[in-house]
Amino acid sequence: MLSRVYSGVVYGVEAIGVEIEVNAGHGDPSVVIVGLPDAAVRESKDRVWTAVLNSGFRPPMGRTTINLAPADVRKEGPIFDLPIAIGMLAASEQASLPTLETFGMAGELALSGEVRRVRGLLPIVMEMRRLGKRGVLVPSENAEEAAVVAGIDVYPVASLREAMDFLSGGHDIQPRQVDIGALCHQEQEHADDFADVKGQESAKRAIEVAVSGGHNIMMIGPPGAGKTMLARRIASVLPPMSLEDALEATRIHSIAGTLKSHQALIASRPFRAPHHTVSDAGLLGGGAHPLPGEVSLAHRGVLFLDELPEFHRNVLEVLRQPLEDGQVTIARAAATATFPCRFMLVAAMNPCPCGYRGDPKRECRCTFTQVQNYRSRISGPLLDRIDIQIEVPAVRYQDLSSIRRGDSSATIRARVYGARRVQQERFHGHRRVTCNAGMGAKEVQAHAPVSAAAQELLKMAMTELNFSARAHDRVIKVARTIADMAGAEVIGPEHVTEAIQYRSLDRNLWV
Amino acid sequence: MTPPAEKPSLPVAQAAGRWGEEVAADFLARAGYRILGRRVRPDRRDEIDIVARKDESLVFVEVKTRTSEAFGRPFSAVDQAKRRALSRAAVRYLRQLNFPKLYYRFDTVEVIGTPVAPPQVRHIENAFPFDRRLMLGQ
Repeated sequence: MLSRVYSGVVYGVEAIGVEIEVNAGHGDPSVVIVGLPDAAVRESKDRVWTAVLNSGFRPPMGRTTINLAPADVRKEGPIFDLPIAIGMLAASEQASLPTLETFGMAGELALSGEVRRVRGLLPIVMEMRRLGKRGVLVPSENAEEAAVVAGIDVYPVASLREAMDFLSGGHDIQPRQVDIGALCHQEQEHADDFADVKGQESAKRAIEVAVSGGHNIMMIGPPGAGKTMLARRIASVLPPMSLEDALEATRIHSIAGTLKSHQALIASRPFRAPHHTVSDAGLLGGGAHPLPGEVSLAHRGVLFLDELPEFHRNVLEVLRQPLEDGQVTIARAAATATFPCRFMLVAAMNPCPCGYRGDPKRECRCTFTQVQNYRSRISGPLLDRIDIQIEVPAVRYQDLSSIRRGDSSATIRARVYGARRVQQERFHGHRRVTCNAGMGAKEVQAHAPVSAAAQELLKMAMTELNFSARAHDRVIKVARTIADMAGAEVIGPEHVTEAIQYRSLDRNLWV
Repeated sequence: MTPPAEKPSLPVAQAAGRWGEEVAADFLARAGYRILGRRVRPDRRDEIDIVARKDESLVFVEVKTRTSEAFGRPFSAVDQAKRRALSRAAVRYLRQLNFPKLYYRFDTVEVIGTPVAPPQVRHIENAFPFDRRLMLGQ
């Protein structure tokens, strides 16, 4: 007899519906899987066979042919274990499953018959909904992630036996539901707080500006100044994600398999800090069947690159295009995938190889050439995309020992929300631009009026400090954010002054 | 004083094997199998120890007899060459029957012991698959 079961395979950020036909025929007991299965799918034969036995069913006695359609799409991963097992049992007529074809399902099987969690469930469930399925059977450990999709019932199953009992009508399962609205508006708990950072008031201010406007930021300072400490606290002041953003981020994390058990949604903005030994494929995404990399995992969040010059040159260079486009396309022989990657870049570096150049107390022992070499590892085009560059000097003892605490993360966050709200109103209706950092030349013209006094300052900066035309635009964008934070409609001289401060590298202060 | 002419007795190993086949056939019959044939030779090359039928399944049985398991279990002697020979024989057998619409499988019955004591019998269902090289499309 022939049975049909529905599942899906992840392809980029989308999923493609897969129809699994199982035929149990006469002949010798053997299983044949056709339809471009990869190694994990072919192995599922043995997992399924044993799981079927251990769940108290009989494997088919004759020849079982399994076809995964469409036959021209590569099927990978252990997702098909559960559908294949159920298809086998239905085809060998061990139970009557009249509603089988109205459900979709996905899950890996343990030898015991338990259903294990799988990667990429979210896009698969969305595809099942598109195909008009009434419900989906998913591993119970993944159920929350799947339940985010509205308009389709999500039935968590813990074992093959439970799934069979449910499909044959003998056992009712309560569909899993999550309140995504509530999850999204939950106040986030953060272990690290800006109040813990002593001193560094100007760096904190710069970070607040960067977060408020979504600007990329680079911190330059000697070892131990607190660059990493500051960066790790950025997550605690990020504005909340909209439901749409959260779903986008969750989809990527679902595909990468980085969601925790029973985690429904990436509700707080991701903070990714890859080590500087990361490969280009690790950062951008890659693999024969492309998986998202760090830039995509940081989508709608923060990508922190500590010790920026230590990253491989080719890794830094490939970062340019995704920074610009907000998406990354990975083309491989087997498949081409496009993953979104709109993130805020936070970078940290030392001013020179020894780390103490410009330090008032310690002597820098680097030669001019060494410093040049070190700096040149970060190319101009990459630097151009970093709006804010600040120095983070070593902390003075008075600051460190003082009991005065700076603003807490909650206070800063409240101010960031305020500035972001102004930008939301400004860019309402714009499809591409959501914050000041995203403005193009046209938007700068339209939305960043500069007062006469501020114009004067800008002119001075361009002539005296040798700012390039591009630096000029960047300064205005940052000034726009600073004005927004102050609640000013027009950019005034004080805003421009501060913005110019944040161009350390253009000012060539310490070369 | 010559003894009366009789069939020359089998070598020891073969005699043990015959005894084992008896034990296995009895065992299967009691387990509900219908014995269709013993020492079946679909052609001159290979021999199938027992062909049996239960429900929808046609079973080709290889019997392995040993006096003890001191040198490994009997089933370990059913190696690739033997499996291939059995597959070949089974395909010929099935061809003669024009491939009935049944389930086919290979079982092995292990008989451990000697005629003097009750032997230990183990039945391994679906012990090995058809040799792929002989598999016909169905």
